Amino acid sequence: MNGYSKLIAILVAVCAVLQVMIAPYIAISGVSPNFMLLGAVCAGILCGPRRGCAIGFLCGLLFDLSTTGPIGAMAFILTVVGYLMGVFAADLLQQNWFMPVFALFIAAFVTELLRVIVLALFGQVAFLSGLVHVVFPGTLYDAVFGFLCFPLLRSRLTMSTSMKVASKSTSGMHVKNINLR
Amino acid sequence: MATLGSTRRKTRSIKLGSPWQVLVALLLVSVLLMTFWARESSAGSGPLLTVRKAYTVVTSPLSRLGAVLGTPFRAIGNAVGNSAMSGDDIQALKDENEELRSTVMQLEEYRQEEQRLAALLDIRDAYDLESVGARVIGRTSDSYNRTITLDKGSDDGIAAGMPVMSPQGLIGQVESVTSSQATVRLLFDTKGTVSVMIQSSRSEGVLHGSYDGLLYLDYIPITQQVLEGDVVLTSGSGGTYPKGIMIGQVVSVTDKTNDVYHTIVVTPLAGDTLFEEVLIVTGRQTEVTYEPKVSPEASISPSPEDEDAVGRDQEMEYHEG
Repeated sequence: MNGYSKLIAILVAVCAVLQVMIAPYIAISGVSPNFMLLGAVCAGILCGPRRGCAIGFLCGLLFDLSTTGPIGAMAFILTVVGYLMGVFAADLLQQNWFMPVFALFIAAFVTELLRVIVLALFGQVAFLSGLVHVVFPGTLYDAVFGFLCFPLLRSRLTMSTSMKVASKSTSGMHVKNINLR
Repeated sequence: MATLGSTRRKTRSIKLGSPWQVLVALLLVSVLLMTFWARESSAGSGPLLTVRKAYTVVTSPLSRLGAVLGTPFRAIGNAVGNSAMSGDDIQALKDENEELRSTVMQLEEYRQEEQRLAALLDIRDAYDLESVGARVIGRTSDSYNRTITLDKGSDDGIAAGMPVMSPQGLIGQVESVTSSQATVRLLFDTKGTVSVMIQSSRSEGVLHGSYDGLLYLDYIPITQQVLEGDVVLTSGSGGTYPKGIMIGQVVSVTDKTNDVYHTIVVTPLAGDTLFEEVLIVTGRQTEVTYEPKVSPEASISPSPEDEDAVGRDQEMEYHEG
């Protein structure tokens, strides 16, 4: 396992621990943050769409196991989120600060919205009530934590992009996978 | 499919397929998991639920640690949540709080009333009296008259002359009645008199009230021994009060030179308590037997030698007649 993989593994483990250990006790009006979402977003940004959706699936599965909701629901959602972040967010992070923050906010909103839809389909929540009391405040809460992670993500992505460009120019060969992503 | 580079630089990578393939595969797996979970949740058991339980067991130490570490954050969360409460919510909570305070005070009142009524029932059972319960609805503000007004009258079978008791003992006599009310003259009143006797010596005398709020026992000859602590009972003389109702205890005995009778001060058992519920004795008993609730070990038959001890110990059984 190379350094990058270790970093991702540590990231997922930390998010899982935070989700179990901290998230229930920092709820505001019953709304807890979703650290597994952050793990999926970071994985998507750092690893690209393929590994992003795989790690997103893993994060979602761990989230489902720690709750009483349908197993597979958050796995489904974070698979999509990890993929999308891998496709789009890497480019977004190159731009000014507003777009990445906006992307994190959208990711959080999509996650919470899809979750309330899935739970409503399973008859576990009332959709409108969940929308008002959980989705919107949950989105804000997740976006706040995502915003706090943004500088770290940006620095890591900048470093990885630089290494990729440098390796291309040095070898003179087209190296498809330098395996930093 | 694994491919190995044959160039000077080895590149080693495991191709997982295109991102689209991975995405679709994982989404299908997610949907399958949800389907299996739906079946297992209706059945109540299954491999997925077992995995969830195992995950819960594995992470429970972390959860307990989080409970300890999260305490200060929980307080912050509550503070933030409370600060976000609307004014209407806060006002509703305040109103509910006031209502609950009022309810608590009312319940305390009911509790105390229940205690008083239970004590009344005890005294009624102890004397085995025919009686009617009544509430005090008025008190005199006249310094010269000590009376109370009750909420029962002739319609309830109350008549003038009936004794009135509190849980502690005799307090007075019905002086006048209307159809729905009765006026009771208390023992403290100067106009009220009760024929009494001292339990230990059986000496009979007359008890009356005074302006200084004390009860005086008259006509006990100086030759009769009277001690502080002696119990004073109704003697039944005159037919006003049944014999044997406890009134009070002797608190002082004063003898002056050439006095024929003792000067005895009696403190009533009822004291100057502000009664709220009383018993009006309606029965025509001429004599009562006092049988308080005692434990079997405490009850003894009094012997003549122990009359003093019996008279002082009100928890012992007493039979007269």
